[in-house]
Amino acid sequence: MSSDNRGAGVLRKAAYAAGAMSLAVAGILITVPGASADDAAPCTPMAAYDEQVLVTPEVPATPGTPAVTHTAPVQRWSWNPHGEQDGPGDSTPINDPDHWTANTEHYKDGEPLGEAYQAGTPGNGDWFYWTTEEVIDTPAVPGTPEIPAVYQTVHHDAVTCPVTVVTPPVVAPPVVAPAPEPETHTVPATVQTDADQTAVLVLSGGLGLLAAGALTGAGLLARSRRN
Amino acid sequence: MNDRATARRRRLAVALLVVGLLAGAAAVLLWSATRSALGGVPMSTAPVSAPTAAPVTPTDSPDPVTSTATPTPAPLQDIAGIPVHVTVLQQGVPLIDADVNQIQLNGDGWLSPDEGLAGWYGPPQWETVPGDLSDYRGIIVGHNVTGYGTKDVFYDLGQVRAGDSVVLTYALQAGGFATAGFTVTQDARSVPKQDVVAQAATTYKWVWQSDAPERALSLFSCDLDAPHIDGHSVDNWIVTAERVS
Repeated sequence: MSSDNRGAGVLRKAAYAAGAMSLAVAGILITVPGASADDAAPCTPMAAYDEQVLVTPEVPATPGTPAVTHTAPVQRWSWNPHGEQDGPGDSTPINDPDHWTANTEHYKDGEPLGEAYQAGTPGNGDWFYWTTEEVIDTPAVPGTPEIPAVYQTVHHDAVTCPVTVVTPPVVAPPVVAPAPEPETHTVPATVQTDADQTAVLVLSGGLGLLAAGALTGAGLLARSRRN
Repeated sequence: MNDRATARRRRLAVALLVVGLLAGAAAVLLWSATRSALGGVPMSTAPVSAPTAAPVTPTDSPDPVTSTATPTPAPLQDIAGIPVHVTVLQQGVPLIDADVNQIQLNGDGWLSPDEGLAGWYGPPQWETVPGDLSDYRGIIVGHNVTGYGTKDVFYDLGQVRAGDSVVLTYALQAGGFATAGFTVTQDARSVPKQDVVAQAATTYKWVWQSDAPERALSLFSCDLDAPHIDGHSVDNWIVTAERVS
């Protein structure tokens, strides 16, 4: 096997290894997010989406190599003219075997292959023909077609974060005693704690005048009686 | 004819003499009543229905306040009630003993109690209950004489001296009665009526307010010995007291 063939094999193995690695990584990526859900990381709401996860990376095409061959002599044939004076012309042992007779001669370097040639005495020589075969020195290596990357569609559900009601810390306001309502205290205009006795005074005065008048009248009457 | 006329004149003279003597005697009596309050005339409207609870029991001790005090008196509390009776004790003997009703200023702004009752000047115009902790004093007023010149419930307020005791009886909001004891802080003082109200925030602040929240009381009446104008005395008797129980 040639060095080219070995290089192609290495490339193929590397591509397969990379594909396997990608599959493993994708599997981890698909499996692991469940565990992260329990993390204390803050929840980020997100709409649903589809993710194309690479399963097998693209494998590029490799060109083939043609077989390396050479033409090797197989059998020498001798021309049998059957009385004809002309040479074989286009006649070959393949298409005109009646005029050709196989012989046992070994090939000598320089003899033409696949064509009639004349050997012996020039101008009166015999005609010969070496039939040939193709000998494969290096078999052909077929090329490999491009293998496209394989992706898997992974659907991600929408992430809806629980509504967290953030209650701000209750800062208790300082306890301030409510201002007492202003009490009403109306000072009176006067504190009148003795009843009005004017009427009594007027009455006593009137009685005094009445007594004085009566006594005066009585005196006058008494004086007139004496007179 | 002359005899009949003489006899008629004699009878008329006798009748006039009798009328004159009666009228003169009545005038003298009335005048005396208004000027000296007629010591022989009984009090007109002594309280007849003292509350059944919290009887004030005079003691033989010369100082009733001292006799009721305890070595470690409990902190005084406001009383959820209204005063319904007042008694002023002098050496254990009731000097004043009257029912109390709540009063307000009349249309002229005068604080004039009802005859026969002591008046507690209370809410809404004076929002201090006597005995409650306040910057203002509780105010209770009473007449000294009636319009007929007879004694009224606070007739003897001018006789109150420092150290005498005042006992207020309260009708509690929760029902029942309670009493609070006060000690008179100074002898009764006669002050001009006009000044005690006109200078209520200055000279006579001590009558109406306290320098710090206290459980204090002021009793008012009129000073009959002061000159009179328009039938009214020009001075008030003031008695101040501090709650002790």
